[in-house]
Parts: sequence; structure tokens; C-alpha cells
Amino acid sequence: MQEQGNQQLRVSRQVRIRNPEGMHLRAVNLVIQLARRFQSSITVSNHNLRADAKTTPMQLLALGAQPGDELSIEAIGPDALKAVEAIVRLIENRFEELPPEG
Amino acid sequence: MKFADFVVREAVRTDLKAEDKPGVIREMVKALEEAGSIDPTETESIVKAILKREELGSTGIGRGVAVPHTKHPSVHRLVGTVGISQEGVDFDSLDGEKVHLFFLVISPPDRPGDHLRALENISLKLRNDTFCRFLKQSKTAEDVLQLLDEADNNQFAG
Repeated sequence: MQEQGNQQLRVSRQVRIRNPEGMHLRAVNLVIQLARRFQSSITVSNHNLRADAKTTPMQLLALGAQPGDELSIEAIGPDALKAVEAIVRLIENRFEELPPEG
Repeated sequence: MKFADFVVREAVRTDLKAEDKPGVIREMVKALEEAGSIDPTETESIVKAILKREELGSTGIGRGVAVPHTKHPSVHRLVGTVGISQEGVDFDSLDGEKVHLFFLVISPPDRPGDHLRALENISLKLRNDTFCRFLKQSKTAEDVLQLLDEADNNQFAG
């Protein structure tokens, strides 16, 4: 699906935590930094909890994402597809580093 | 995991005097030393390790709360404490707010899962506005411990 103009897209994908330490605080901070690059609103869910990916680390830390947990990443907005892809990639890459901006 | 599983009751402080990040961390590690929870000959090494972790990015998690932490080989179980600064301390938090409430946690290097569970528990409980506000307003260690016990018993919903 192509993103165009001000279209409001809703995109969601599942991704499994692979790094042995789970979504620790440094990982959380990387997710927030990356999420803030996008216009779309972005949430991350684990079990029955949902967190806003752009606000405070507290929200995402509370998900307690452990190795093996499957998270659901959802974005709503004009760049939703790119946002979800970027965050999924960061998690799949075991939170090693942020992709270059742009 | 519950607060009671890692918070050392005798090391809780509601009158932190330090005005900067290294000072607060030292004061809280000292409190654990005074409570007999860490080896006194390791205090400096633990302070240094926590400060080194802060260099990788602030452990401020928003809403005036920070969770300074490290792994350290001198501890054999998860130990932590709670500190409150009435004045607030600049902790380089992502949201720029001064920090009033600190949870300091030291974990054995071979148990990374415990450490994450402790941070999960802290974050989960602090999402409750009432709990977060009451904790920051606590004037005595007894007040803090009572609130932590109530949180452990799920008396703060959500």
C-alpha cells in the first residue's frame, strides 16, 4: 500500500522480542526517539497493556516485554506504514542502534 | 515482582540532601550500606557503575521519577531502595522535569530478568496518578513503606 498526502492510515504488525534482556530502559529510550520522528500516533501493546510510544519511558517499561513476548505495534496517521516498519526493524535488530534519520 | 521483593526497608530516605545526580546516587547507595545490604568495601565501585550507566542515557522515566540502576557482582540478590528529594534534582530526563522520586536498583549480573521485572513493577504501579502523587508527598519512610505495601496488595487500580 502506498502512502499519499494526508491520508490517515492505520497499520499494525506483530513482532517478537529477541534480545536476551528484553525491552530494557535503553531499548525503551530508542523506541521513543524513533517514534518521535513520525507524525503518526504510535502504540505498543503487550499482553493486555498498551503504551503510547512517544510519551514517557514509564509507559513502555510498564509493558515488561521479555524475550519471546510478541508485541503489537500500531500506528495511525499519514506515515503509519513507515513508522511501524521502522519500529519493528529496531526490535528485530535487538535494539542495537537507531537507523539514520530521513 | 513486588516492591517487598527488592526494597530494603531500612534504606528508604525521604529527605535526600544531594542537589545533583552523582550526589543523589551516592546518598542512596550509602543508605543501602548503612542498612547492611551491600558490602561497604564495594560502595564506591557500585556508585561508579551506576554513574557509568547514566552516561549511556538518563534513567529518568518521566513524571519526576528516575530509576538509577546497575548490575554488580558483589550482590547476590536484587536490592533496591527508594529516595525522595523535596527540592527535586536535575537528572537529564527526557521530559526535562526535575526528579523527586528515585528507585535505585542493584542486580546480580547473572539475573537480567529480575532487574527488568523490578523496573516493570515500578513503572506499572507509578502509572497510577494517586500512588505516584502520594509517594512524592511522603514525608517519612513509614509513609513510603505503607504506600509500597498497599501497591503490592493491589490497592491502587490500573
